[in-house]
Amino acid sequence: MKKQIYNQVGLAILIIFASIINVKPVEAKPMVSAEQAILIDQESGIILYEKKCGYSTVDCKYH
Amino acid sequence: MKKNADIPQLIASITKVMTAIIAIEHGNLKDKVKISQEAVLAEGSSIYLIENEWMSLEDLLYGLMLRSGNDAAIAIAEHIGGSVEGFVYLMNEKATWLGLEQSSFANPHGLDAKDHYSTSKDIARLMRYAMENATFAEINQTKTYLSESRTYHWHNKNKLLTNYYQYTIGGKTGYTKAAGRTLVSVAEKDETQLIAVTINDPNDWFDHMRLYEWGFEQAGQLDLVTYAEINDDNQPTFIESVYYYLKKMVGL
Repeated sequence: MKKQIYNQVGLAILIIFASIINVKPVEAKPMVSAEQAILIDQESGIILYEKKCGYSTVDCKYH
Repeated sequence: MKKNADIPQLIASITKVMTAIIAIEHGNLKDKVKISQEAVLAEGSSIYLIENEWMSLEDLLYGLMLRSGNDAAIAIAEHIGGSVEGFVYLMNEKATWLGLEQSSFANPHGLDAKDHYSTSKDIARLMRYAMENATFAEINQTKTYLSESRTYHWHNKNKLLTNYYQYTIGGKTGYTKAAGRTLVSVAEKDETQLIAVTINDPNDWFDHMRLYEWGFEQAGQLDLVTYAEINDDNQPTFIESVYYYLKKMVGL
């Protein structure tokens, strides 16, 4: 719970910071036909893209 | 299972990333391995091992990763783990140690089995760990290899590496009828390395290239949508993420 609050506050700070430095908007994510797909940064481990199926109510074929 | 969690699925031969890294960490590449009947009789992809022949662990690893030899997987497992069962124990121990919470291994080759499954996220974490090992990275980026006990080359089945995508530096393919096509790959461009994983993807080569093209565009930019998705315990902390992006921005 505490970590979630920290994350939310952190995200808010990040958004303010980004708006100040005028970051380029995120481009549309690619459509992938995999049932599961993920793209991560090797150095940081940050997830850049993720597609997962099973609990979604939308069609999982394309994302 | 928590809401919106990944669904564990059959993963086929991308399993061999785990087999290879355990063999590299526990074995000596110069070890000579005697090939058993069980290895020779392994179903599916093969490097055509011959019963009672001797092959170095290094050659078996190249056969495992380039040709996806299931016979090589069994031979490696018997050599490193004492038995297939012993090696599977090591695989699951490593999975636990790496925090692969939705993975279970039942064999060293990835053929379909009830207790053999993983998720794209867990495989990405596994590959991230494996690529930090120089020996694994070297084997993984090899396009062709000549074993000291063969007269012909083994060509890597990873077509992203050999044909399709110039920035590819590694990967492992997989396929069974039940699992569909599975693929984990690694690409590097402008000092950024990305790892892509797809499970049950009929268009995996194409999809990986699209993911990379998109991903390299995003790399170094402050992706707020992405950050919003990062909220589980195994992800970098907020401070780590900000530090990472700031570092990218100033070009360090």
